[in-house]
Amino acid sequence: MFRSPNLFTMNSQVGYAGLACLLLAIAGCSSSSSSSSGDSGMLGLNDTGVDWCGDDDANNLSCPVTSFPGQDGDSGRDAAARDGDLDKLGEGDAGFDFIKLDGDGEHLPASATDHTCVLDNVTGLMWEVKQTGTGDLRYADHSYSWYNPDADVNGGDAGIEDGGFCALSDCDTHAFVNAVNAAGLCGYDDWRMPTVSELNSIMHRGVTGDVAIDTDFFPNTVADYYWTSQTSAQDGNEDRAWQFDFSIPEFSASTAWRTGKNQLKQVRLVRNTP
Amino acid sequence: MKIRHTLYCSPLLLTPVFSAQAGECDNAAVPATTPGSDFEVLGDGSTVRHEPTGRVWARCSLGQEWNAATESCDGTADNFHWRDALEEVADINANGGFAGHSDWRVPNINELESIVERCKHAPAINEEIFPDSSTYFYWSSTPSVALSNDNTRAWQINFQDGGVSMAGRASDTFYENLVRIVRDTDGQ
Repeated sequence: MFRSPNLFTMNSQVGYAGLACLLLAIAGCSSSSSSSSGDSGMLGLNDTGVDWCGDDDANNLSCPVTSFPGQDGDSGRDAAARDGDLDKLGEGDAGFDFIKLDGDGEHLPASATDHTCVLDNVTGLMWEVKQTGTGDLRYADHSYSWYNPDADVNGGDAGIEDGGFCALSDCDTHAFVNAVNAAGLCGYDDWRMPTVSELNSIMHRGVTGDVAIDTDFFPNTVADYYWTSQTSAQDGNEDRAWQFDFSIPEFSASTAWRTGKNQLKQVRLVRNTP
Repeated sequence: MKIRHTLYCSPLLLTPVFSAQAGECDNAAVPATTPGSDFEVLGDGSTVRHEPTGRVWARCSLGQEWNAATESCDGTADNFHWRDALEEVADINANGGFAGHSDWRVPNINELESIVERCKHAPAINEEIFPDSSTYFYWSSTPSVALSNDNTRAWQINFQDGGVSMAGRASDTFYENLVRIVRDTDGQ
């Protein structure tokens, strides 16, 4: 069942028109006041998952901490959830508010273990959940090269076609997006590559474990790098795109940095909801 | 499909969003993440409201002073250890506040990331909205977790390129970053 087989019937026409403006690379194109930020379509900002406080060398302290005032764990959605003051439509750790969806996009109870997509009630984004079967289109460990033939948004370098290791599609980001849309994941055909901000929105920085994400809602997340849609804006670096790391580092690390489009990374697709 | 949207956009070509060179993308084929139209300038111009997130930001870094006549930031931004950054903002709130408010914070890492302009480099920020901004690291208020139990770091963003990383948060480290303060507004 396709809920939105025709892009023009979607309720997100304003956002779509705004995207089209950007696709046309018109600096003077204004977005409507009801439209959202830049290329992203997030309705609101997620909190970080950090519902505790720290001092010079300790984490998981009760908030507030004397001499370390006004830090992340002192305010926001995570603090409200910790204090029992946050209303959610769905469920999720700390301040996160997610709903599990089945393959047709129907809501499932939070206790479901075989869900296909996740709706984020704060950002309004719908996310792909990766699969465990190595022969599946959306297997968690498939890798893809970065490729986007659209010269209006690829930063001037389309990247590399079919460079990765995967199944049921060519192994680049463009081919994977097309294959998932052809399959009608969760009833939709407007899946796309996420931005740094969008991947950042589901990173859970409050946990210790293999990966910095709510694994109940996002199982099969690998401790590796995920591609974003965004090319490096540095002159001469058009052959690089932003990647996002969900692993929890041994010592110190970057979560968002730039790497060659020929590199092989994971992909998690996203779409806007009205 | 493109014709339809060309028609939608073309009347707006006559009224450019960016009034200054500073707000334009370094690479026009990288979609802007923080177009000027997303911001509302408040009061004397020293703060802006970022409409998509509902957050209000100081346009200058701590240590700089807003110059309403030139719409720029005078002076040099200060560097702080993580703890000193938190305490500096608490002091501002306790001593009359800033721009009429006393609920300023060091931004958490998601808030700080939300003002990175990914179509720009050095600095990766909309300089029409945030003039005289640094290409150096800015602190978030978010402490970080590492598997080695090395809990001595906090998240930061390098505004040269917009990279998100960690730096030492203990006061005896050499990590001293810049700070841009933020506050919440009602309705978000």
